[in-house]
Amino acid sequence: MRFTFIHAADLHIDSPLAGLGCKDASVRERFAHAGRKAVENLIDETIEAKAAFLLVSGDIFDGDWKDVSTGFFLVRALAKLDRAGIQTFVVKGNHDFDSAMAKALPYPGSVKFFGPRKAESFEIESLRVALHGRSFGARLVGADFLASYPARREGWFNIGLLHTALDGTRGHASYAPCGVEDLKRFGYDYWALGHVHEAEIVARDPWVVYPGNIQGRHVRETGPKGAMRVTVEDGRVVAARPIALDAARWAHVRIDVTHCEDEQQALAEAEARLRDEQGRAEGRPLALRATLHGATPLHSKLVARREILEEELRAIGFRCADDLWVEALKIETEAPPRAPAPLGEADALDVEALIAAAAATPEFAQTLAGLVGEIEEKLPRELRGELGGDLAAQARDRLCGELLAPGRGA
Amino acid sequence: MRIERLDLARYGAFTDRRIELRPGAPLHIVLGPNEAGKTSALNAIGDLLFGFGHITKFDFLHEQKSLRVGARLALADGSTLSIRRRKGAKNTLLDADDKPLADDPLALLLGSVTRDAFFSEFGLTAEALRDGGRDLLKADGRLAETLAASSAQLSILTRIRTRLEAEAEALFGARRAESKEFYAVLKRHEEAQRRLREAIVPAEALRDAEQAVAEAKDRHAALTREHDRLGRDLALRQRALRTRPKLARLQALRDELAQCAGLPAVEASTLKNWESALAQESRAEAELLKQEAETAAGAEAIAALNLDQALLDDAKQIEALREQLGGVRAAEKDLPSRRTRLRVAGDALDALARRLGLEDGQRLLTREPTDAALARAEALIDRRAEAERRLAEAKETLRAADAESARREADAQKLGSRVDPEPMRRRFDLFADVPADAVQLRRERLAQDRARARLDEDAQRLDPFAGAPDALARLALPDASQIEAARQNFDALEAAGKQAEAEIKALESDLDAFEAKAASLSQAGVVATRQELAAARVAREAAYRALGAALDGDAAARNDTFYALGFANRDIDATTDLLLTGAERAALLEAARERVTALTRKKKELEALGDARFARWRAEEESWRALWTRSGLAPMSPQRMTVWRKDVEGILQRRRELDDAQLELATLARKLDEQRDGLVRLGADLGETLDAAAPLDISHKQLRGAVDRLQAQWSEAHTTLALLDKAKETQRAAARDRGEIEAELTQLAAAWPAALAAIGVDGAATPAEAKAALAVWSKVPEHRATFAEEEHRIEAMCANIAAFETEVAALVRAAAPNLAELPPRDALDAISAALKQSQAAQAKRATLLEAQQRREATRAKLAQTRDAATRMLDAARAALALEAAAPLEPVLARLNERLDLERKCVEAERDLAETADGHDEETLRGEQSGLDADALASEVERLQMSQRQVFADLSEVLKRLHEAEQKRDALTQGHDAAGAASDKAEAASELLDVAGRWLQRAAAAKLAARAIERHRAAVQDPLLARASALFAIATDGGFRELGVDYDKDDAPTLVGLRENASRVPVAGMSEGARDQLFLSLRLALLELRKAEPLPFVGDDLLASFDDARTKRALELLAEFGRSRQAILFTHHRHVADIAMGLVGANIDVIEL
Repeated sequence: MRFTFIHAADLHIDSPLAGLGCKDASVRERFAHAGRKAVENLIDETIEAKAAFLLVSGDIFDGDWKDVSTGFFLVRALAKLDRAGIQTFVVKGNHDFDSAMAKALPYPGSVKFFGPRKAESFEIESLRVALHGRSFGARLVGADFLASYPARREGWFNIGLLHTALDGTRGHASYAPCGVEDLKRFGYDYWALGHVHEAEIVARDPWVVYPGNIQGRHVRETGPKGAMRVTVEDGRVVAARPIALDAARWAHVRIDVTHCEDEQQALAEAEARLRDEQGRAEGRPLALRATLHGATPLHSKLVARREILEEELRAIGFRCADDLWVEALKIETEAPPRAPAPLGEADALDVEALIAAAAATPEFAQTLAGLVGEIEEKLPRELRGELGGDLAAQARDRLCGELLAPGRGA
Repeated sequence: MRIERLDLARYGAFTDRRIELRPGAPLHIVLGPNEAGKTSALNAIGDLLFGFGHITKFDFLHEQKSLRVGARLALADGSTLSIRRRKGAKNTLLDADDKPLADDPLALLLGSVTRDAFFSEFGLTAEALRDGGRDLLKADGRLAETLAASSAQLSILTRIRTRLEAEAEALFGARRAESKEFYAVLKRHEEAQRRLREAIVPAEALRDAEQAVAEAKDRHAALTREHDRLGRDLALRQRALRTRPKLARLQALRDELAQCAGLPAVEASTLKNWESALAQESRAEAELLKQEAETAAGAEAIAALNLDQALLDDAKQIEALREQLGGVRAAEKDLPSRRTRLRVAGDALDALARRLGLEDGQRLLTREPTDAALARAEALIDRRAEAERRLAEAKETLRAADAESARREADAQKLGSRVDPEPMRRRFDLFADVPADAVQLRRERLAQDRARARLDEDAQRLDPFAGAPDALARLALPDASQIEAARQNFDALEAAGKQAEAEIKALESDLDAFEAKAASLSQAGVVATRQELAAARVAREAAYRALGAALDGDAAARNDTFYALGFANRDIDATTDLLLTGAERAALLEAARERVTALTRKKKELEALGDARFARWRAEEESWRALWTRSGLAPMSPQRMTVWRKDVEGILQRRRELDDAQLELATLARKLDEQRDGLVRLGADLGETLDAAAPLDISHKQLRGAVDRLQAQWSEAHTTLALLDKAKETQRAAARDRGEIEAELTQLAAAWPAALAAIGVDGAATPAEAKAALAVWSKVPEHRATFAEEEHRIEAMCANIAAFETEVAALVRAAAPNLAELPPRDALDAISAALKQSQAAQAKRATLLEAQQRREATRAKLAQTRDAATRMLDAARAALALEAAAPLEPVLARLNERLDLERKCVEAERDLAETADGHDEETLRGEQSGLDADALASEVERLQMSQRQVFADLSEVLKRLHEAEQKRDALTQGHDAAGAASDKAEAASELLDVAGRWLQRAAAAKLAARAIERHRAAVQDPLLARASALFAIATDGGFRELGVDYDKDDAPTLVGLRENASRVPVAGMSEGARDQLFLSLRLALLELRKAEPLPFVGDDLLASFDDARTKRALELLAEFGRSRQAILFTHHRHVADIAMGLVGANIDVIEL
């Protein structure tokens, strides 16, 4: 017997994407609605793949998102699966627990939620599939969260649904901590995990799989996003393939400019990488961050001209595709080490040294703190503390860069 | 580091060129005209020290890889270094043998100095110098910026700071303003936040909305039920109201019908047939009687009719004759006019015959020629007439040609000698320019005279007057730069004077204020001063000592001294008390007095300075007048004289231009004179005598007339001869034409008699006579045809009339002999009238007979109908058991009555069924049994009111339900909260971006200010000390030194101190002084450098300086060059000359 199911997690429906800094309304529009479009893609893909059922391993919604129309959007989407005769099995994650608006939504009968008090099982007699899972009943759950999962049903294909960070090494807080070894002990055939936003096949015997979130939301969630299509034949997983469902994509390219002789060469390298990423996005709108790094004599000039270069890079982006938006250009280069003054004494004509010395004084640090305070006072509360970076170094590099730049001063 | 030797081995245009720079020379001037390689040598120093760049433009002679530049350098530690540099990527520094050096000895020497920094800090161009001067002015004396301006890079930093501040200001400021980008984005963020708040649909809102829907549905269901119940009750009562009278009427009809139960059963249709038969029988009887009467009347009418059969039989012939009668009458009317036309045609033919000389028309017709004969005769006549006309023309032409030929012959005889004018014309053309030149000469002379007069006037107007323009040209006047220098000196003195006046005024005002203050303080009460306290203490000390001395003395003395000590102590206490109580006032008074003293002193100083300035003014005035001594003029103010000098320069310039113009004029006059002889000789050849005194263009005009006349004579002779030839040719042609025509006429005369005989004309007739005969013949055919046609028609008409009359007479004899006496046409009319009468009677009889036949048929049909009815009525009586012939009408009426009742019953039942809402009669009676009939109407009214109320409630609740459902659906769909959240995130991101950009700019601007301030702190004292000395040299003592003042914000500012201790702010210095100050500061800064000293390289630095300033600048550079190396590249030889003239300066000049 052969059947297919789709395993998704971390839908975070209507969780807003990070700001793009983009003034082109059409690009912004496509990004703004990418999250819902990805969910629609998931439903369409499930129907098209003639999947036997859909698994959602937690975090359907964002905990602090209060708009109930988001819940109705999901209800409508799942109703489409219901009409196609496809069942959905869901465990709630830490975000879902928080979500007040998700409580008591009118889901169709084919959508099954696992309870929070202890693990529950659902069985699909026709496929001889047993599903075991437990929803989050609190924001945090202890290490014994897994203990109530039942033993495998022999002769059946057993799936465990679990929202967990595993051992917490994947950059996520330790939710429902457990190890792969702990999971193996249950003898299930497939562990459908959720919570970690990066797709990963953690193990193949048994299958322990994170499908990742279905839509990247900021520049740290780059690359294709989607779900896992799993094919089972005679009680064994024969294929588990990630499917891209995201409707807009994020990318981050880091460009080493150590060997670049001038800005134009750096931009040319960036353009090549942009085109590369654009090709990979398969027609999706793409938000891309470019970071220049490496030790280069161009360092201060790059700092001084960052905004101009960012604009140029954006123009290059639009030259590649009308929906390739360069979210930001970051300069993380550094100046090559400088020969010490021959007499070990500052030269009256060494303006760079003069600037560097002035930048290093505690009084200047105080001035900077004053400036930061001045503007933070006017910023909305939630954005305060976001202005980071070594401001003194930035100011120093900016000045030195301006001194080097052609047409300086005026 | 000093460059002792620069080797331009292969560089630019140089090959193996070596420039030696003598170690002892404080300043080297490298003099090279343009293209001599000055720029190459300058760049070579850069390439030597910092390497060739990526691209070089000095490889136009030597290949890039073979480029070499070298030097011997004397270092600060006394050692020397010989190096060479090649173009390449690395290891470009070579030793004297072209071997790469392992280490870069220059790296340590140059330290942080880059190629750019070297040329901007250690090199200086004239333009950079002027920019530097301007930067000093912009710095407005502020010490930090002024000192920063002395360094190229720090002055750029100052500009960057200003720009960054402006950019930061546009992005953000503490005060909220829409124009600042930060606040525009912040507004968007707030807007998105608000929209997000409004767009969020919380679960409670949805729950409430669903509850509202459910409540509305419940209420709707309840109202619907109530509405149904009311509807049923209302329908029952309304039905009862409707059907009650109908039920009653039905009952009444049924009761009446029961009374007809005894009558036999007869079908309605049978009854109708019987009634119909009864009516038919009586109608048929009446109709039969009427028919019989009409038949009798018809027979009588037929018998009364009268008709003539014989006439009727001949009717056809009579009709035919009547038709002919019209034609006969028309012919009789036409005959006279036809006879007239026949006679006219005959007369015409007779007349034509007579015109041709024949006896009558008949004769004419027998002699009529054929058409061919007529045509031949006509052609011959035309040809003969034409030939005669042409002969006359030819004769006339010949006569005129003879006369013309004779006239031209006579003209030709009269012609004189003929000369070709062309050689004369060519000689005359040589003088084509003469008229224009002569006119120009006159005009220019006038213009010059006028210009000279104006020049004299302008020279007269000059104030002071300096003679006519020629005298002016010889005058030794000071040049413009000397006047300008004097003007600047006076301006400076005046400005200084005004400033000093302002200062004294301010001082006096301060003095008054402080004196007033001191006065008011001292009047405010007794004030103890510190001096008084000190005096009291001295007194106490004395009392103390006195007491000590008196201790061994007598008691009185002891007591006295003791009391004195007590008094002294009390005195001190009192003074101290006063001091303590009035301490503040005392301090203020003291300060005021000190300030008054200081101000008075300062005022005196200023007044002394004013005196010195006045002396200086006198000296300046003296030298100003001395400047003009040689010219012998008494000068006015330098401003006035600047204008005056410019005016003089203008006059002299115009005078020079006038002289040049006069020279050109003389040349022109001479040219004209030279042409006069030539013109006179040409005149002689043309036979013209020229007036020697006349202007040359008049003579030229005269000769042109002569040449034109010659030309006219030549042309006239040619024309006359050509006309003579033409007349003779015409004569010959006319004679030839006459002969030809005469031959043709002879030929035509031979054919003439035969052709004329054919048209009945004599052979001797002229063409005109023959033409007349032809005209007569042409009219004959028309009259001949008319005559023949009329003759024929008259005969035919007479025959027709005779035949008609014969036929009418035969008819009368046969049909109406009684009319034989009448003329045939009247008899025909009478017969026709009788025939018409008989025909009318015949038609009437036919109509009557037809009516008789129709009546007969009708009578038969009526009898048949009556019989059928009688039979049916007999059968009815049998069915109704009546006797034969018993009256039927009463029985039939009863039967009809019963039928009518039955029909009404059926109608009443149908009517009831239509209003019974589908209920049968029994059900209706059943449901109405319990109802109170009288209350029905009011019941209905009440129920209708209730129903209206329920209906209104239902509408209201339905509306509520729809609204609730819409609200719920809208909430389910959401308000695009995700979009609003996205907008908010977008605005937040932008806000952070703007904030970051502002922070970076604001921080960088602050850092720049801090760096500039640090620079000032680090270099101020040594830099100012050295720059003071250099500035004193540069201004040749105009300024003694530099000093620091403090402005109203207590910020240090730079001032120049004059010899007389007056303090001149940077803004108060002349532009030249500021340039010198900039140069002094720059050189002082370079001297301040701790690292290996580098040579100072000036590139045409003094290009804009006058000689005096150049001299001082050279001295300044030479002063710098005593401790460091100074090299000045220039292409101005006078710079080198001035340098050579500097006594003891020891400056070397190297020519490239």
